[in-house]
Amino acid sequence: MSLRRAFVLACLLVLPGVLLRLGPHAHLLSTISESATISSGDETQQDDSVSTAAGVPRRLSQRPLFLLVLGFAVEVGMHAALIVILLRSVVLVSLFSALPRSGRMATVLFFGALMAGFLGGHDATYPFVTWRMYSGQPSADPTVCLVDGETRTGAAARIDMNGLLPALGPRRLHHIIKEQAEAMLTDGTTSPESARLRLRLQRTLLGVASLYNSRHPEDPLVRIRAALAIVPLDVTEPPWLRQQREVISIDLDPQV
Amino acid sequence: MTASTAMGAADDMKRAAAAAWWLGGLRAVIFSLWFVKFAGVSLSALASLPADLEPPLLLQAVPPWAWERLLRPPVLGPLQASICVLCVLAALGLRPYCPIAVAVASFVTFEQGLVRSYGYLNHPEIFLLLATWILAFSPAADGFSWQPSRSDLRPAPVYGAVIAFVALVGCWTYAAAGAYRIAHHGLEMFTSASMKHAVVLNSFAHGSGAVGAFLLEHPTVARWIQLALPAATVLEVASPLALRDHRFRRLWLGFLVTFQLLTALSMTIFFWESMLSLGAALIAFDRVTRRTA
Repeated sequence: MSLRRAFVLACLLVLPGVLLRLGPHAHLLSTISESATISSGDETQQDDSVSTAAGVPRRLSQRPLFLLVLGFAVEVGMHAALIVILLRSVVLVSLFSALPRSGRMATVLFFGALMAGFLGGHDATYPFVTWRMYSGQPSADPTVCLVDGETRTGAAARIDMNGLLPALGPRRLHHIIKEQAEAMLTDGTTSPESARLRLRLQRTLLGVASLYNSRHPEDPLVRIRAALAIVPLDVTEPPWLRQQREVISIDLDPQV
Repeated sequence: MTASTAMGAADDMKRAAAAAWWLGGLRAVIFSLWFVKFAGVSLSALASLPADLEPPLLLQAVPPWAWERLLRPPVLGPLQASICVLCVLAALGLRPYCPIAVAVASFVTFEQGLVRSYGYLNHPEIFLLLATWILAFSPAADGFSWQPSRSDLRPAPVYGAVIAFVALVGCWTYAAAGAYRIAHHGLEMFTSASMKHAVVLNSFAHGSGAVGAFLLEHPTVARWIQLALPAATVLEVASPLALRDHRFRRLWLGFLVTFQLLTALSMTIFFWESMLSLGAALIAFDRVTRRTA
């Protein structure tokens, strides 16, 4: 394929992603002095995760707008360059040329959706989503959520949340409880919203306790507790978990 | 028909059968991975959690009141059993393949979307899901199947194109992560302690904390790990080039396995589904392009 044709096709393939990414923030582009846009929803930086409800970021980055635009331009440019390089591959072009017309059309549409997801996707556009991992460092030290309890015999029980509900996939249960606990601590009022957050966390922990007790009927939990602790990155000796704050503690009826 | 034409046709047939076999093998790997994922867990346990869901757009067709009814063991149990049975049928390449594979793809899209409606979206199964949809609409049951179809084989490049597309999508998931990191946090890769943060957080939150404690005790090691990030990022961005050059493909397969094993050891993040499915796709691509070349 000629360089010019490859370039045009690459531009067409990244265009939906560019529109999807810029669309919700178009008003920001008109106000150069303002500096706000999407923060990085990141596999490892869940504190920066974006809201799934409306698909609109919950947090706004504080980086200058021109840096964000420049970064996005570089990102788009890298994708486009890779597409051009692959479209210039004789082997790949000959393989895809062998597909029937409908197959080629489906391939282009699928790849366009994939690129749109990479460049402008969010949680709501599943399964075409962004892939942002280990990108940048969050401003705060790592916060860890601890869920433990006490059993009927008085033994302390550390609850393995990955093993408790494998259907949810690793880490997700931990993340849900951590997010709910952080939201409760952040709110910290007696408002209806705070009561709602508390009830939500309570219901989740009751579900966790019920799962735990179904696996340990001989010594069920009589209390379950969620706490948050910080691991300061500048310490070089234990204790590693510091500033532990209990968020909620629930007494349970082991008969239930 | 001359002898050379007949030999050429026989060669084409042989190549087509080989390519169909490799595509069938990839199909068997992808659907077997789904089976392994579903057979080992109990979907019914999801009913223990409150149905405070934030479903993606694709699942928002389900009205909010219906979730309470769906998320019950009598619904989730049969759903899981159906997915397992269909995965086995698709892995074996039984006919009618396309409806079976589309049913698997639809079920797993729903189930994975459901799981992601609790909390947040992560990536381990996303490539596997995309590969499933691609294979569902391809002639992936023409070879390496319980009922192989020898009579209506397509030309070898058709099978090769499907394998190439699966591998391309898988490689691009790595390229996208790398491109975002370079474009938006290029300098931070060198100057920040992002890897220390990630390792410490994941080690204490999801593991024993031993690796995190080791890094905190040894800041120099943490610094070296940070410097490995730019190198890994360059290889991530270059991943689609594995489809262009077979020497780079081998190097990149080595990187894929090493990278995933190291993140599993250090951060308890193991994309084994992605590693196995993309590894299988790249090996199949390698074999098919060498045969058809």
